[in-house]
Amino acid sequence: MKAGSNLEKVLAAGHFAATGELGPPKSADREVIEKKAGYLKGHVDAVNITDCQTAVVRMSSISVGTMLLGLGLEPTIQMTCRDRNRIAIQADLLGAAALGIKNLLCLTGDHQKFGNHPRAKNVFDLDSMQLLQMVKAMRDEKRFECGEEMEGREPRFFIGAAANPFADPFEYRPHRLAKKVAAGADFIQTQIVFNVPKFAEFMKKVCDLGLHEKVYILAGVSPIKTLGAARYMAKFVPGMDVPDEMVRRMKESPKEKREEEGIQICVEIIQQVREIPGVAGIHLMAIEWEEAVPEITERAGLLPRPQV
Amino acid sequence: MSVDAILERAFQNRIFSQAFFLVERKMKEWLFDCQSCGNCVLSHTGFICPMRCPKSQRNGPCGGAMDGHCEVDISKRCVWDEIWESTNRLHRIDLLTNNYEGPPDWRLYGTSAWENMVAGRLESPSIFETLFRKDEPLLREVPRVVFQILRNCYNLITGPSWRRYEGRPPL
Repeated sequence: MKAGSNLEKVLAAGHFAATGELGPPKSADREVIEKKAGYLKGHVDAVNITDCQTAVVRMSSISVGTMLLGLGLEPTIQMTCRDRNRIAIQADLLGAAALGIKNLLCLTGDHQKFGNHPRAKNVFDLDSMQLLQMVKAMRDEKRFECGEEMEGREPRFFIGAAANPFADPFEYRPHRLAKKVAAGADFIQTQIVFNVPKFAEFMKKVCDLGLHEKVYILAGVSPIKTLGAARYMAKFVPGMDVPDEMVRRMKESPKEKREEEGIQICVEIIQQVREIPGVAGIHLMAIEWEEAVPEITERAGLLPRPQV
Repeated sequence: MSVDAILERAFQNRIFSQAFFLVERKMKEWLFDCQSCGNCVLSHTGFICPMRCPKSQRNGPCGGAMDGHCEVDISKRCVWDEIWESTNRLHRIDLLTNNYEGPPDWRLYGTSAWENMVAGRLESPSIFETLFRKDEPLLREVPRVVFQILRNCYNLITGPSWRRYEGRPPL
């Protein structure tokens, strides 16, 4: 056991894992967290808390993670390189570990251009690969990035990384994943999968490289709520691959049944990716639609969640 | 006396060091749109400067490239897409798959990478070790590398300039 988190135990025991996602509010409302956590509790093994996703200011990931611990959920905090340099990242991670957080997802972070503060200065002192390596060295070698040894307890995290199987250059993607595994990733959460055949192709290459034996790969899935969302994701979200078929299905279903159709598509995708060799679980990103999580996990046959 | 030792002594001369950096910087700006980070990895990245990336990604592309274009400014090609293409042409994708680039030393920003290399401030191996394949005769490799540099340079001149990109990180 690297960190002994619930997610790690579920994966190590060979269960098909399910993780969820919780988007913190753009305010200081604790009630929002409690409400969203209610939808997720008991339905997923761990909950990702985004770190100012799309560069929009929100409640910080670590503070929401602490609240979730109090509510009886296991948090996976996200850490991006956009807002912090190596000093701030390490300081925050020491604090997070001391607060009892055990899962960490290392990301580069969205560019501030996409957010609500496009005039801000970014940091990008490290990239996600260097972040992974740094966190791993802190855990396994008790060493800070500068090389200095850590006295006392080291922060022990079950380290995650992201992978996008769909972005260009496609052939490079499995190799990049291999680099992330070598740098220290214990589990991988992928970009949302809508194009299952392309994802299967990616996974085949990943298995050929033998990576599925070194790292747990969780396929990202998400329900589409509206036709507008489907169209928007297909056209404007960078690195997202939404086949025309999905958009057509959303368009052809009657307006009042579109949410139902979106959930149906999501359930189908979960069942399909489950059959792909090397997939150890799913990461359900019902962004701003957390109330759909109980239904999706129920219908996809993911309940009850294993107790380990 | 080895070449390294001679260079090391020469760099101690301030005038030589300044003049060398001036030439190095201008050459690299023209050829690679170099950002003078002082931690040069050009020989690992198919002679495309990864510091042009708005996120300063030194270990591969982020997840946002669409049809080979940068998510931050869609009019430009993703730097890492270019790097992938260039290293493929040089038959050196091993440089991308096996290499891990450590965090840059930001103290070296705006200094000569050659001088840093000679002075041992960089961990990157010598340019000749990574640049040329050992199984190929040097005479065949040199023209290939030169041709690829010129090709990248042509793309750089004809493509939209990163220098005019409004959101470029102030390196």
